[in-house]
Amino acid sequence: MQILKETVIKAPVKKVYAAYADIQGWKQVLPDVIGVQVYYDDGLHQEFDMTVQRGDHQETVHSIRFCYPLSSIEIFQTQPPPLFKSMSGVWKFIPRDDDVLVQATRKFEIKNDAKFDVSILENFLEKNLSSFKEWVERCA
Amino acid sequence: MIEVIQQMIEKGMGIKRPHLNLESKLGETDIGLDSQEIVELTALLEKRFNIKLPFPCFTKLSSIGDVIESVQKNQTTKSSKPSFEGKIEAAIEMDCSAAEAYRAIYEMDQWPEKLPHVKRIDTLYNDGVYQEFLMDVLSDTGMIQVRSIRRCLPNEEITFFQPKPPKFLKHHCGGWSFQKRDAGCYVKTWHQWNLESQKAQELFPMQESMSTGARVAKLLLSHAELALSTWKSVLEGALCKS
Repeated sequence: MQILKETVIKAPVKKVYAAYADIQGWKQVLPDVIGVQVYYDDGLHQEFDMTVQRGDHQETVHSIRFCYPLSSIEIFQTQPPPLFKSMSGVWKFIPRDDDVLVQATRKFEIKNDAKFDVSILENFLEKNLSSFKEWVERCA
Repeated sequence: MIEVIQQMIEKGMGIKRPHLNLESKLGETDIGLDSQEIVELTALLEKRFNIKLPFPCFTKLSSIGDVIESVQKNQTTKSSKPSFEGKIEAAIEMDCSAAEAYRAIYEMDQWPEKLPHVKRIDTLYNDGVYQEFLMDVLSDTGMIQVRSIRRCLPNEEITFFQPKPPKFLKHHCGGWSFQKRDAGCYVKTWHQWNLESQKAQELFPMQESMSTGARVAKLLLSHAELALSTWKSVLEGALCKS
């Protein structure tokens, strides 16, 4: 399955990209991110664990990102969230006259015996985009 | 970012200070850091933001605003164009199609049967585009295990990084590209890296007129050239058999 969400951020693409690329900075942008453990980051490739608060429990996912400066960031998870067999995605940064169109896609497979409401994932993705929009526009 | 720096000073350095603002000076009159503590703060900033700040970056008269400006400037530069201390590339023409060359390098599970120095592959993840695997390789220094993470763009390009590079490297990544050329193909490979300076200098001290960096570059270039010539033999040999 695949979902796509997008937003427009009024800021230079350098700032939009830098906010998404700085994985340690996610804790400041997204209140549900409670921990990030970075194992490798050379500016193009990143490997890290991210722990998020989901209601009354915490989830840790192991992620790997391939970063294409000012253009896109691809992600896949070797340890996806519970209920998911696989999870990958991309953020695309498309500069326009005085803003940036950010498109976020997620490709995923749900475990055979799991029941999952896809709108939950859509809400997370929308929240991700709106939080970064607010953060970047405030800091720009 | 002020909150992050405040936490860094309080939790990372164990120095309790009243609430910081952009005008707070690092030195005795405000925050009270001495020169050594400013160096320590710089190191914490570099680690936290994965950046390299110039030395000396801050003085006792530098303000928190100056610190934030330096970090942001460095982050923007880094994020826009990541820099590597070293890069080598090598290329070779092969008498096979780009698709065959791509497939041979994509199918890592088959390597132990094709490459004499690869003894075992343990595939940890493979969804057709992204791969993660462990590889046992017989090297000059004995058997070593390498973990590699790759992104594969069918018949065009494979890029990789090594999350735990050899001790003398801080970062190591690279790739392969495949282009059709006449009846065969043109295969290019490249490596990029940052040195783990102290270990690199220990293992590859300056020799005659060759610096540590140049010696590492020479070593990685020889590995790249060997990989290309080995794959050429394997692929052209395989073609002769078929």
